[in-house]
Amino acid sequence: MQILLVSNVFPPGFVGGFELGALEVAKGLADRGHDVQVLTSDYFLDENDAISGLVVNRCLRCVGPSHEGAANAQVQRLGVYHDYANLRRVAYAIRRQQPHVLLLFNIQGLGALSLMTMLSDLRMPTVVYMMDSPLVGLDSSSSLNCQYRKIFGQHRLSDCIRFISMSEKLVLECSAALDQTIRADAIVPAWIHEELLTEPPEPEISSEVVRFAFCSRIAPHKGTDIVLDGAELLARDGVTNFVIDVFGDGQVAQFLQSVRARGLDRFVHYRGSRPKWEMQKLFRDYHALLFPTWEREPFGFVVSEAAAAGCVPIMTRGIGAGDWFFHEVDCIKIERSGHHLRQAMYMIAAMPVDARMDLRLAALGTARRLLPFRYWLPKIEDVCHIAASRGRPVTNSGNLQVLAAYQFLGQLWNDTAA
Amino acid sequence: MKCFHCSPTYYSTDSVVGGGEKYILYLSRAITRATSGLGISCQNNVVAFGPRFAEYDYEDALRLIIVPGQPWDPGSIDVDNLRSVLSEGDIVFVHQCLAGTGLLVASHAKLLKKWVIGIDHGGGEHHLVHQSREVGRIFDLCIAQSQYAASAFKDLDVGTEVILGPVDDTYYTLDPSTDRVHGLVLSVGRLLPHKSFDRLITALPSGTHLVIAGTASDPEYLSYLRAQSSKGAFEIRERLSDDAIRCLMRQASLYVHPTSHFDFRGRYYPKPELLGLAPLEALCCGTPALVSAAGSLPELGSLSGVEVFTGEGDLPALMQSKLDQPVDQSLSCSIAESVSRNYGLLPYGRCLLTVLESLGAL
Repeated sequence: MQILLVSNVFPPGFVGGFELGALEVAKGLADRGHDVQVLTSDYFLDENDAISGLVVNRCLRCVGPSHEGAANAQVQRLGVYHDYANLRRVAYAIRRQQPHVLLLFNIQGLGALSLMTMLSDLRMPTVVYMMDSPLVGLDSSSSLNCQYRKIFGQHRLSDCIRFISMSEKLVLECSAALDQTIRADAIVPAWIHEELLTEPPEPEISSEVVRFAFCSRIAPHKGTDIVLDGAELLARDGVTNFVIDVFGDGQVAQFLQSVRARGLDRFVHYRGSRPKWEMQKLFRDYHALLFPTWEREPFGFVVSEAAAAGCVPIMTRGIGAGDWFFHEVDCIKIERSGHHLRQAMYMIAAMPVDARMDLRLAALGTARRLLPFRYWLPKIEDVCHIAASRGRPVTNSGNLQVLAAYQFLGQLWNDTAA
Repeated sequence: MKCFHCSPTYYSTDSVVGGGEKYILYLSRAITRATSGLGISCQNNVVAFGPRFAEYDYEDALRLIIVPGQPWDPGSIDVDNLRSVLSEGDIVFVHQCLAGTGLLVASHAKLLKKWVIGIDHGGGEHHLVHQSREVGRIFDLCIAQSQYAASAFKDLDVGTEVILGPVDDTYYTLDPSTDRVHGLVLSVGRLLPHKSFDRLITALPSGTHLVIAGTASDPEYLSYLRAQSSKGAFEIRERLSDDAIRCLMRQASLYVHPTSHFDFRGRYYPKPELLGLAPLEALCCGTPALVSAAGSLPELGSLSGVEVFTGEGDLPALMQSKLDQPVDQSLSCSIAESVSRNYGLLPYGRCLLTVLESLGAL
């Protein structure tokens, strides 16, 4: 199949797991013989040609690659609803490359809503891969949404648009934003790469220091403040035999200032941002992963990766990863608060060595049994085949006509709101 | 075949009694005549905009559907309602296609996978039309009612076909039982400044009587016209029925259409006439016509009984010369036959069907 993969940003730079996942799927499908081309924005460039084996065209405009800043009016209009410049470039790529299927990864910041409806109007076989909702920031009760619907009509997607989701929760979230029931052809979890796995952790004889890891974007919604709250509460209770190593990019300066201000330098150490393969090795040396992320976390790749190395995930109850792990069997699920995180950390620290090792090996077993990429990639490929067999895109002249209609409606929408 | 004719306004005293609105009726009649001759089943519907949804019989075999919205404000239109209506059509004729409302209708019709045909009647242009050729691609084709009307589409990436007319030559016909009134000059049109009735009043030869039939649409211009009473013998007859106007056309010795690109205040009008429906109707009644050189009107000069005046200074002598020639039955027949052959419903309808067929819409 000829596959055109669209993503708001694309490695070597990345914000989170979504674009790394896009890269892995692109490479995986290419390895299986498909002709995969990538259309992304210039948000991250590849000046050192780090990405090899894929044609990557960085001509799109991304006004906000994540939910952060989605409240900004400009990001809302262009990023969530309609960016004609991006529609034009995607439609052009379709005319020129004639792909069998479009595979949309993260389209936040690209004018996500009109991009999806335009592809539907083009009858373009499309798979929307939801590692997060493509319509984050769309408030169906907002005046902006009312204005958009007044010009464009009710949001509508035809059955040439198929969905892969990381969780049922995301499907419901997207359905609510569209005001249209959608169904996922496959629920695909965050995967692990077996070739990156190391030996299971060595059995512990005794452990004087309990080692926790935090590895995600350094930002409040990922729970960095809660990690510090938990550490502070634990230390205040007199527990001092623990360390928390923090990995990732983001609001690092603020985080470090907060560590100093709370007097937690002894317990919390920032270790920089490490590549995925290195983290996969490092997780083996930690007893547990701290992941008190926001409740709407679509999944959390880091949960799968940590678990596969025998690092027990302590995660917010209700996130996508929670669908694959059982509380106190192979993970610990908590309410999102410093108090509850402290309880979970204490439980790990106070646990007998054998019991803790059993929990670690259970997490490892679950991840290695259920989440290998080699198992899930063919499922992704199957959905692409389904999409390609169902839809037949309009002709190139029809493509231009649909585009012209979006050009005018977008202009009218801009005029109306101006 | 189900055709929708979408227009901001429709021909009625409840909406607008103007040429652009009347054209829609003639177009649907032309399609009906041409398709019935070929045994093709065809249903025509007019879609316009008003305060609330309504649907009723407009005339024989023609339904009028009012979609909620203000006619000239595309942002006010109930788009979901519009899409629901249009979804049942095969071909959507978009009238005033360059205005915002027309482009909105065309966009949604195209997204509904309909054949979309644009027709301009001079009702304004959305600014995007001047900025992007690409917006023209919304239309599968634009139809121009005159060569001059075709020029409106020059800046757009869209194919254009010129199909002259149509005028309803089955309604505006000769009536041998009606006598011509010598010296009666008729001019018909909405009482708008660019129609330039004031120049006609000034040029009236002595011994003639001018009747201006139309609807007052501009109070300032109406006052200005009434102030011209010392310059010539004329009367303004407002809100006449089509039957009454047809009767006047049959009685008149001369029909004059003095439209100008510049009104009495010097204001410029780029598209003052795109067809000239009223002179065509008068010609169908066998009445000779004098038309100005504004817009599409010079194209009527090739028809029997029509003369084009280029300068206002020529008008009095030309009027006198035309009035000196008696309008006998033979002349009337020749005039009516000429206009029917070139602008009548049937030749128009047949030509339109040929165009639609070559497009693939039939």
